[in-house]
Amino acid sequence: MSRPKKKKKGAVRNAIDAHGWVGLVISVPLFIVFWAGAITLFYPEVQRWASLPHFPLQASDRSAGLSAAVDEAIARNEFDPSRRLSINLPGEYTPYLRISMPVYDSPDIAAKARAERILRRETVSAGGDPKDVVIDDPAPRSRQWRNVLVDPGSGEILTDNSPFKLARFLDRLHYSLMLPQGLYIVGVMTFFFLVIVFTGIVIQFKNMIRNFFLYRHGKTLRYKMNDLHNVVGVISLPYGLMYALTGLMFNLSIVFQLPMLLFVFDGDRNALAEAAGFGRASQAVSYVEKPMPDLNVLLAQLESQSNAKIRSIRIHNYGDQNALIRFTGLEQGSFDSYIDRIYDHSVDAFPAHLNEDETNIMSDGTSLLFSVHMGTFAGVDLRLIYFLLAMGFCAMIIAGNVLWIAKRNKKQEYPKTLRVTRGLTLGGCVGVVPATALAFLLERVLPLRLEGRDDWVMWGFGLMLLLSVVFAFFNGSYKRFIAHACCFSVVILAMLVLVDVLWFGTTLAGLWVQGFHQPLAVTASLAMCLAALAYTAFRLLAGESGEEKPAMLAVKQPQHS
Amino acid sequence: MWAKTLIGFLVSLLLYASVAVNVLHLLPLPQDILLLIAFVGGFLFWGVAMTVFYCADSLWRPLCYGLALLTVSAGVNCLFYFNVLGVAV
Repeated sequence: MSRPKKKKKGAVRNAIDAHGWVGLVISVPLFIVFWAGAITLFYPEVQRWASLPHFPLQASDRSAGLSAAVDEAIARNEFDPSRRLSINLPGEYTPYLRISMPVYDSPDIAAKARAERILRRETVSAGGDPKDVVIDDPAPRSRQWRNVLVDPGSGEILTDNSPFKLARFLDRLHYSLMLPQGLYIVGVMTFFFLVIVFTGIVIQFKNMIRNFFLYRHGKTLRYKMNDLHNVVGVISLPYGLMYALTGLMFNLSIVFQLPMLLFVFDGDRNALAEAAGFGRASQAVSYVEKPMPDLNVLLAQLESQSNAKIRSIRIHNYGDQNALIRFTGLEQGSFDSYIDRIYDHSVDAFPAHLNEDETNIMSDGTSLLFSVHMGTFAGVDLRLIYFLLAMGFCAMIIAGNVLWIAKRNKKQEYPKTLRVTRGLTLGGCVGVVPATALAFLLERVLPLRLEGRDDWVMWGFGLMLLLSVVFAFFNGSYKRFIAHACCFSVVILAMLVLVDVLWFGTTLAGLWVQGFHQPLAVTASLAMCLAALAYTAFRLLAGESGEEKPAMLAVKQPQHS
Repeated sequence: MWAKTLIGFLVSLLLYASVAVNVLHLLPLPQDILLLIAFVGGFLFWGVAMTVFYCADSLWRPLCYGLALLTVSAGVNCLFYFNVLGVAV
């Protein structure tokens, strides 16, 4: 007796199944990544909105002495000179002079490390080798970082550790979901997003042109969601493909590096880094003290010679004879021509062997792709387009979830499983909106001196997301749930806008007059989001009590006789 | 779907790594260009290979094709790795 042959479903049918299944599984992290990424496009603006009302500036210039500011910042903190010190110059990304420095965990550890350094210096001055110095219980390396904010005009230190971490939190949420090994988790998820894009192309290939603008307004929610999903998906296809590919490259480059390292470069990491154009110059600490050069002089010299705007300075082996000072910036009038110059303190010059102008297609290509990913190659208008496309993607993810749940609602199978899925997917996705609103509110109202202020913002976000999942689990109608989530976000945003107007209104207006437009622009954007969410909630609640209620929306409970 | 996902992911990943290494050995272009081609093109290849797994009716056919291709590609890897062709790695 022959076994009955399994009926073939065809590539498109299989692609639809895979598209829906993979999409549902990764919907929540994908939504968070897109949502946080959309806000991260305005990282400088959010950062300025958070910090400038608390520490207003008169003007963002570079008149203050850089070296004096760095010396003062080091004197006020337990700086670990064995690690890198970074300086972000005031400009497009920060209005302040920001000094990021590694600091020891406690003054005792700092004192111990200082004693070890003195011992090694004495050994060197006596003609010995610092490596010969054996210390039984060496001081542990620094594990904390401090971001010192300096007024670039007066040189006054505004705070020893910037408490404004919202923009950074959203950025980290974007690329790592704030999880351990999150970089790789997001990388794998991005790979499946790439697969979703490809399966979407397989599904829509024949109808891509014919149904390009098809949107059946008068039909049921399922048709509308289907059309929304398809139209946004097809229109934003190049954007989605670019994001999937570049995101994969940034987060999962390890799967490329490993085989290259093992089978092409014989395990030599430096050779691979050199071939890829990412070789890093380094020098061992000499344990010979030498006063650091005037950074303002070096900066002015480099900017005039290279016709470039330097954005950041990184100093290795600070205070040592073998210190290296690395200047990075952008050539004037260019969007992807970065300059990278290294000053060798031991020879008091920018030596040719550390500053060879070699074109490397790999490093140039990846920095170009990074610019494309972050939308940094044009002005605010491009970032707004990116933002709208990202929001379109978020809407598409919600539409995909609604489609999947509506289909299962109709069949009335496994109501408990359906509730869990609805809670985890729809609750997880939609809950990100009020969670972000709450994070913004906490960033604004929490006292600056509060211990673990950034943790409060992070926990506020996480708890709101969890509450949303629980609420979605118990809420029978997902249309009502989305409307309630919008209403809740509106309330939080209204409080935020009120706080901005009542507490910081005068400061924000003053900043606007002085040319710092971003803080007020962000407040206005939040007010616009409030209006858009209120309108969405109103439409959803009106629709819920209207004609479509019996069709698809309510979760039908199993009927008991 | 879980079987397709797990097996497809692993096989396409190995295939991607093997083909990317061969691209670096076989194409007569400067190393930085080859690295970029392998980097960008490799990820696209990986995504397409995974899509093939999902679009197939059963797991066996793409698995057989994938393993056959992987065997050939890994064989070429070995030729280069053990310097059989007299070409320095």
